[in-house]
Amino acid sequence: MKWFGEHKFGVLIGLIVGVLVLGIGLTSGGRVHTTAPEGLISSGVGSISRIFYYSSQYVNNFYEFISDLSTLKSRNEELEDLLIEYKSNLTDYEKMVQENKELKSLLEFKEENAQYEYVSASVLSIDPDLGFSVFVINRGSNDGVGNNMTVILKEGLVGRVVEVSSSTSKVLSIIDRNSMFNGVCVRTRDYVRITGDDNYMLKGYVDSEAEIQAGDIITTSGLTGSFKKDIVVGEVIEVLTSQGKMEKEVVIEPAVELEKLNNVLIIK
Amino acid sequence: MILLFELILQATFFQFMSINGYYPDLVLITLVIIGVFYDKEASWKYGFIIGVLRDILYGRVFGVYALGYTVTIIAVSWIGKNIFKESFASPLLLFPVGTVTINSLVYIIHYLLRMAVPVEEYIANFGLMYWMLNLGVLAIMYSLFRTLRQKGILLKM
Repeated sequence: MKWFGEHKFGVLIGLIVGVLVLGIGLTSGGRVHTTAPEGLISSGVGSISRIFYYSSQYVNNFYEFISDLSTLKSRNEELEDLLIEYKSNLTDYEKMVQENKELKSLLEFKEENAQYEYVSASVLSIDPDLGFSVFVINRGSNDGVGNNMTVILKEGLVGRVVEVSSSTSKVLSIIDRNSMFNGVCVRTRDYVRITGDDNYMLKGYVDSEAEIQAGDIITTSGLTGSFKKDIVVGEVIEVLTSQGKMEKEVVIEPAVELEKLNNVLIIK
Repeated sequence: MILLFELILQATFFQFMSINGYYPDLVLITLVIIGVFYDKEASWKYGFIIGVLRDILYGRVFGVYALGYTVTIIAVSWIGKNIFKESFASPLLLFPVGTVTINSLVYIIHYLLRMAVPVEEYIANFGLMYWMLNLGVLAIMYSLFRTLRQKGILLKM
């Protein structure tokens, strides 16, 4: 007893460290649901975070507007040039719209997507260290959100739900290094293994004989992982072929501008 | 409450308003200041509580930051009381100790869980701008906290 009295602090810290190491071990594989107290804390802090998030975005936009004032004249000239170019392209565009409509009906994209039920959600906060790799949204199990649900925007794939509490959820975005899934090249039907990369880009790996090229669009394959099929992932911007390697590496630009994320859709 | 407010700021405001991606690590700065003011028996609770909150709010694995911040504030307190006294230079000298401790622990845990980024990329986050910004903010915050403490408003003796 005397020993415990003399080393009370050491014993206490030892116990706490032990409990935390146990916590790390138990949650290292990810958790489907958080506990009730965690949900309560997330909900409480989430509403405050939302105010800060929107205010910060507003301040940032205002700051960008002020910074842009000096370059407005040159930008205006550039835009006028673009306008002339766009006018000449208008005829082609209308043809393409018609073509696009026909392709859509052929592929029955609309019917395929209509089977999903969506939940809309807003971003509450972002991981302070990892940026948009992991972010918190204002929908949880009370809204029918479940683990591994696909998170999208109309432009394409955003990520998947990795942890759910009663009124908030954490989303692992596709740019995170721990995010791995299968995609397919729309033009060649080659399968691509995709993982996150730095600078809001994606890295993909394809068979060395694949005829994939810059400009190709990649969608989710729906074969493995938790993502639904045929959701646009992004566009190939570079194909890297290394001597002696069995695979080609492709750099993919995500269809969604993750750094400007505000509202998302969750596929139920 | 101040630590929680700082944590929310880091997850919202500083994600949009930063200098080339660098922003002050207010939570770590405040923990270092608390570590300078109090001995380890009193200061560990601050590290533990804000670490648990960070794990709940933003972490994917529960316990990483709770463990990291608890060990960091104990280390800062212990070194502060045994080597430096409560002088103006001590927080400036202890901040690098805190930065190295928390980031080493977090990196090692992430490495063991196979969630770590390459070490050279991780170290690249701590460039000259990081140190200038954080040490500058630390000097201001330490002066402010010390004044408030002497007046009995905050972090009472």
